[in-house]
Formats: sequence, C-alpha cells, structure tokens
Amino acid sequence: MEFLREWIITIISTIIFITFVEILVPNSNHKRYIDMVVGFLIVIVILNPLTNIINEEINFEEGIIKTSNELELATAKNRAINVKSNNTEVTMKLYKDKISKQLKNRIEENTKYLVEEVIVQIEDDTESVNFGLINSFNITLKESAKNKKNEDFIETKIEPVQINISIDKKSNNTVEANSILINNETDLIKDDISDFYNIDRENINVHINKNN
Amino acid sequence: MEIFQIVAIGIISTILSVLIKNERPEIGIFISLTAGVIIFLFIVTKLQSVIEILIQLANKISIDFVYLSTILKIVGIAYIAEFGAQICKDAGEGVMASKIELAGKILIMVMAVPILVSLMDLIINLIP
Repeated sequence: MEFLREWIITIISTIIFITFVEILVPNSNHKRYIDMVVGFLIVIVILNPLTNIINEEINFEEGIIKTSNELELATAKNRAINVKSNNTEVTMKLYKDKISKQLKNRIEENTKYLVEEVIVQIEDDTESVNFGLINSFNITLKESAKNKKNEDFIETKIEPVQINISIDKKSNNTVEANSILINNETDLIKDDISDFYNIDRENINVHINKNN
Repeated sequence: MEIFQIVAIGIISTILSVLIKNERPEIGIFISLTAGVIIFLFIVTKLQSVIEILIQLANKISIDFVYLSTILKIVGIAYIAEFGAQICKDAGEGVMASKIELAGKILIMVMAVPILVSLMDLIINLIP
C-alpha cells in the first residue's frame, strides 16, 4: 500500500507542479516544445515505479546528468576544433603577409623594380612535417617611374645595342640588349631569393611588366 | 502595488513611442526596449521568490531536482527568446526575430535530449 500511496502522490504533485509552471510559459510557438518536454517528464514519472517491480531501480538523475555532460563535451570539442582551424588560418595569413612584405622590401632595396604582387605558396597541411615551409613564389615586378626616366635619359645618349649573329643574311637574328639585361635581372633576383629562403630556383617565378 | 507602477511605465513608454514615431522612428525602438527591461527588472525579484518556493516544494515531494531545473531552464529560454524576438519584430526585422526563435528552439531541444534519452532507457528496460 505504501508503494501505491507514494506513486499516486508523486504523479499528482508532478501534475500540479507542471500546471503551475505552465502559467509562466509565454504564449508563443515555443509552447509546443515545452509541452513535449513536459509530456516526456510525466511519462517518466508514471513509468518510474514500474521499473522497481520488473527490474532493479534506474537512476534517472545520473542518466540525465551523464547525457547532458556528453552533449556539453561534444559541443566543447566542436568549438575547440573551430577555434583551432580559425587560429591556423589567421596565422597562415599573417605568415604569408610577413613573407611577402619582407620579399618586397628586399627586392625593392636591391633592384630598381617595384613589386606589384607577390603570391606565396606555403605547405598548409598541419599534419605534415614540412608544415610552414615555402613551396613557391610568384612575383610580378614593375619598372619604377624613376627607373624609366633614367632609362630614357640613357637611351637618348646611347643607341640600343644590336647584336647581329646571323650568318645567313636572309635570317635576321637580331637580339636587343635591353631584353638580355632584363633576363639577367630576373636570374639575379631568383638567385638572391633562392639563397635567402633556401628554395629551389624552379619554384620561383618572376614576371616583369614593362612600362612602355 | 507593483502592478500600478508597471502599467504606468508601460503606458508612458507607449505614449512616448507613439509621439516620437513620426519624428524619429529609430528612438521608438529604444524606448520600448528600455521599458521592457525595466518591467522585467521589476518582476524578476518576485519571480525569484516564486521559483525558490517551487524548489522547496519539489524537495518535499519526491521529484528529482533534475526534472524541475530542466523545466525551469526551458521556460527561461522560451521567455528570453520571446522577449528578443518581439523587440526585433517591433523594429520591423522579422528575419532576425525568426533567427532568435530558431536558436531558442534548438536550445530547448538540447535541454530535452537528456530527458528523451532517459525515457528511451526506461522503456527499453521495461520491455523484458
């Protein structure tokens, strides 16, 4: 009898409690969801003593805390992963910016070209041993206006040197000296960069946009 | 009686907001927001005592405290989400309001999952 009495008291007090709480619930479309949860609770309260008869007692409080802790843990893990990937992204961007700035300063100090664009490719696989190593450089240079003026000045004095290496008179194998100089220049830049950053020369591409 | 004060605050802020709506519609939102917060602060101490009494009652009868706290948390989430969504709707931002409601629903669902899991455990245990 004692068991029955306790059961009935629990059910009735739960229902009274829930009716009281329902006054507090705002009149919104959240009401449906709250009703659903409350329904689950009532079912649990009604069925709970039956488990005593059939099986050994289940500890609901422990189960609920365990499940909510699992949820919290999963959420925290997801957040940590997100933060980590964001951090890596930001760090990579900063690293690339620093390298391209350094490269720009170096080229502009040592040569007479302006750097228009530097594209740096970096090993971005965080698992890899080579993480953070520079894969390749793509550099676009521009002749500076000052330099252009100087060249004009020189050009007025000295005629462009033409080297004619044709043996046969029909084929005109003329090479202009200016372009040879520029090729040399890119080679020098490539050598300098490959020495400084310790990268293979083949992975450095230098393009020069001429002003004229 | 606190209800007079609350109604007075509500009516005054309504009149102010209606008066100002033609001149500066953006200030009307601030007025309703402030009035909402003030009214909430008025009743929050009362609500606190009611909830304390409910917790005492629950301790007397043999309801697990987890159930009670879960229900109260869900009601709280529903209230706050409703408050935010109504303010957004008043300001004419229906999209934002529906986003807040969606977030509220998801948080309620997260609170409900442990109860659902324990109910499933119970039913599985009951069936031999």
